Amino acid sequence: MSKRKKTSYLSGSDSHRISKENRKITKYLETLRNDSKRNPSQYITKMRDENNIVELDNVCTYFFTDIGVVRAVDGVSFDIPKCSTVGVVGESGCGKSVTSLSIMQLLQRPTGQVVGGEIRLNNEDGTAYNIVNTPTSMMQEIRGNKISMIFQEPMTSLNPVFRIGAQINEVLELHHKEMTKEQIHDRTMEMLEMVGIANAEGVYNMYPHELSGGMRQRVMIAIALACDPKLIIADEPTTALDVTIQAQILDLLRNLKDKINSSIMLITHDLGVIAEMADYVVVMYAGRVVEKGTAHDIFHNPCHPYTIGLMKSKPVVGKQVDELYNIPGNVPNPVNMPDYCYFRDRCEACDHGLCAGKYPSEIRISDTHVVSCHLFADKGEVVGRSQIISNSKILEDRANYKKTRKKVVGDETKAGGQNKAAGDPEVK
Amino acid sequence: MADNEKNNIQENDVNTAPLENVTEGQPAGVNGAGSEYLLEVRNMKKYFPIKSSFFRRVIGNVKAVDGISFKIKRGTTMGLVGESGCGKSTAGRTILRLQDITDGEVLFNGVDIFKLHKSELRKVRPKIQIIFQDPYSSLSPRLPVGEIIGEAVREHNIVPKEQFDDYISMVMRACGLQEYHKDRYPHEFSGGQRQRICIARALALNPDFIVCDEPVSALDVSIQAQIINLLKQLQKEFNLTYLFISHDLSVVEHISDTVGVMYLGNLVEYADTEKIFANPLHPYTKALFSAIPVPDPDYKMERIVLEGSIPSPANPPAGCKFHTRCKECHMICKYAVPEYKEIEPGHFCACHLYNTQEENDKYEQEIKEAIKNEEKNLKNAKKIKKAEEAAKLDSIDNG
Repeated sequence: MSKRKKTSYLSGSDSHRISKENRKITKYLETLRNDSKRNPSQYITKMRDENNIVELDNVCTYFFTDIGVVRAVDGVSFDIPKCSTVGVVGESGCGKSVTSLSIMQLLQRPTGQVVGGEIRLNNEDGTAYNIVNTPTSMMQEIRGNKISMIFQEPMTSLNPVFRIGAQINEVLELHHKEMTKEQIHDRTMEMLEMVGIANAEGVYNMYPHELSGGMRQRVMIAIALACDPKLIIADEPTTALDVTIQAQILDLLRNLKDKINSSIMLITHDLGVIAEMADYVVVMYAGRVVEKGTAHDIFHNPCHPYTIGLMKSKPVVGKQVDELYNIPGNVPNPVNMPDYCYFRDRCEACDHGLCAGKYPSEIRISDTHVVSCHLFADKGEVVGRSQIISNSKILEDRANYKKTRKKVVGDETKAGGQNKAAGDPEVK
Repeated sequence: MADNEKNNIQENDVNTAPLENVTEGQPAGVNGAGSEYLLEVRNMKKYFPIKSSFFRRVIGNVKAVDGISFKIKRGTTMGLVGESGCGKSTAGRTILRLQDITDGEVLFNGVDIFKLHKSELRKVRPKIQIIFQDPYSSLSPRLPVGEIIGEAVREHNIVPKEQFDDYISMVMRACGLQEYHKDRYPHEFSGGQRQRICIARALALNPDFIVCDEPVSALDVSIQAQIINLLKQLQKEFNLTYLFISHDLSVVEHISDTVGVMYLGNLVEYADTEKIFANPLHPYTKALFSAIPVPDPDYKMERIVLEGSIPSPANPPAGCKFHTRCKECHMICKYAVPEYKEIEPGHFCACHLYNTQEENDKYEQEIKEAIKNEEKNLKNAKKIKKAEEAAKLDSIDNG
């Protein structure tokens, strides 16, 4: 018992200190996000490669909880090229859903915050939005319009008190204010037919409880596709469905991707689904990318011990093994992540001399294949090293922000005597 | 675990409870306690009544399980697969007598468990256990783990009081739990650990037969492997028999010796795992197997995508229940119900594609009659309609 107490026990004063600091930080980050008059130069950037639809660069999403900072996504970088499918795999709790929510800016705020890095969304005219700095008011135009999302459980993500038609219309009404009612109705019917619902007129007037799971997921896809988004994020779209229905939905997604020219980010823990759908694969573990590459790289030449373990632990039809491989141990505690390789304690290929150092940097072992493991340190060039953003750094930024803010406000009052520090919430 | 002790208990129970019943005039002991089959299900049916809103009159039945029969050998695993809503969970729960049966027999060790009295049933209960799908909702949040596992052990007097604590520790260790977990509560455990607690709870009663109702579908991939390995290892150690219900075909293939495929309350195919995966006969089985995603990006296969979803079990289609979604549907499938029969040795299937010539002739006659009847009905309906219209016209004229 005493041992347990030492590791997880928090005294009252500790917890008070943590929550006080969290409040400071989240309040500061919230002001940044809600500042609708933000200078566009702060969030309009350029893509690294015009052929990508979304680029993630060292994205850090932290949750400021009362027991400490949970680094759910810690320096994740990958690209989503145009008209392709990127699959993200990993165990639950590895941060794959949080990554997608960071792209959508749908995190549970104010606890969850994107504190660093860049998420660039291609604007198709040479510019790009940096979603991390985009104010909420701008985000509302992007969300559902340029990026949309299909959620895991079609049972809970449709509103039970509105008819199907009304729920699809809503998206169009929000994003296309110039459309008339008839146009919206026609577009909705078109969407319903596109996702393979035979009785579109009937379903238009139905409530969600009248439909089966597969049909509901089709409706969710219709809602997501209504505005011709450039990127569709599918967060475990088939986990709650049967094998046969899963085959139908995957077929549908594959056909639709070609039809409307958009990219799909597919999040799942089923390697079979990934192999079938994805062109590129990103393997995540404990908030970091451990391996990424084309589907061919990952499935025919897996390098990271975690990827290999994941593949061996899934039974495959037609392959008889006596005992399934299981990865020993558990995921480390997300509040106190170790400073060495997160997978070291569970790794079977671990070389104690080599793996003793810090978290391994990302190493490019072929044009498309990147792995982050010490065993490959001398087999390619180092691409990137993720760094942790500490609380003190955010607090420093906050102090700087306050100073410049005071200056601006001071100038304004001098100039016109109007616009009193209305938007300065930092005053205690 | 002390093997002697376990064997003793097992022998005692086998000698007392079931044998008594056999002598009491059960259907002449074809499957006595010593038979190689531990469980036999004969034409099991389970209907749920649909009641009208006001008078609570029964206006129909949801035929969740509509006459299935199979046998499970001692120490083997039978996998039961199918889409959700096909009745596989209902079948599992009915075998345990967690709900009443509508028709048919469930023979456990040669004894029909639905004919047992309460006191006799209590003796059989510990021998048949279940592991539920969701380890988050099937454990009481207010009991410590030791109590969850030990409650039934105490109730059924599996071990003497003095050995109780040691026994619980032993069971927990066998399931990969630590002894100091005994005083913790379920919320302190992860999903995989909780499923281990569920397994320990079932195992603590020295069962012969365990129904595993989707034990791994709520778990992560790496945890799934742990639990499947544990189940296999325990089976070897204690000679357990499993009924493994799942919709994940790759898991079923890995763990089962025989596989039964269910569709809309019926068993459509049943065979050894190797046989059924190498050579599926029923069109539904073929479609189901072709839908399994294979983790290899270069693997190209011809996928049979089933249109639509499973029909309502309250109002199943006539004839073969699968004909509405079947690619190889013939005239005969729409009218006649296919017979569930042995096509190759040990390979059962219910499909008209494997009928012999004689059977086809017989069915054809039936169909002709059926079509005739239908035409008659149509004519009658038309007549009635005409009469009604005439009556209406009359009344209008008179008015």
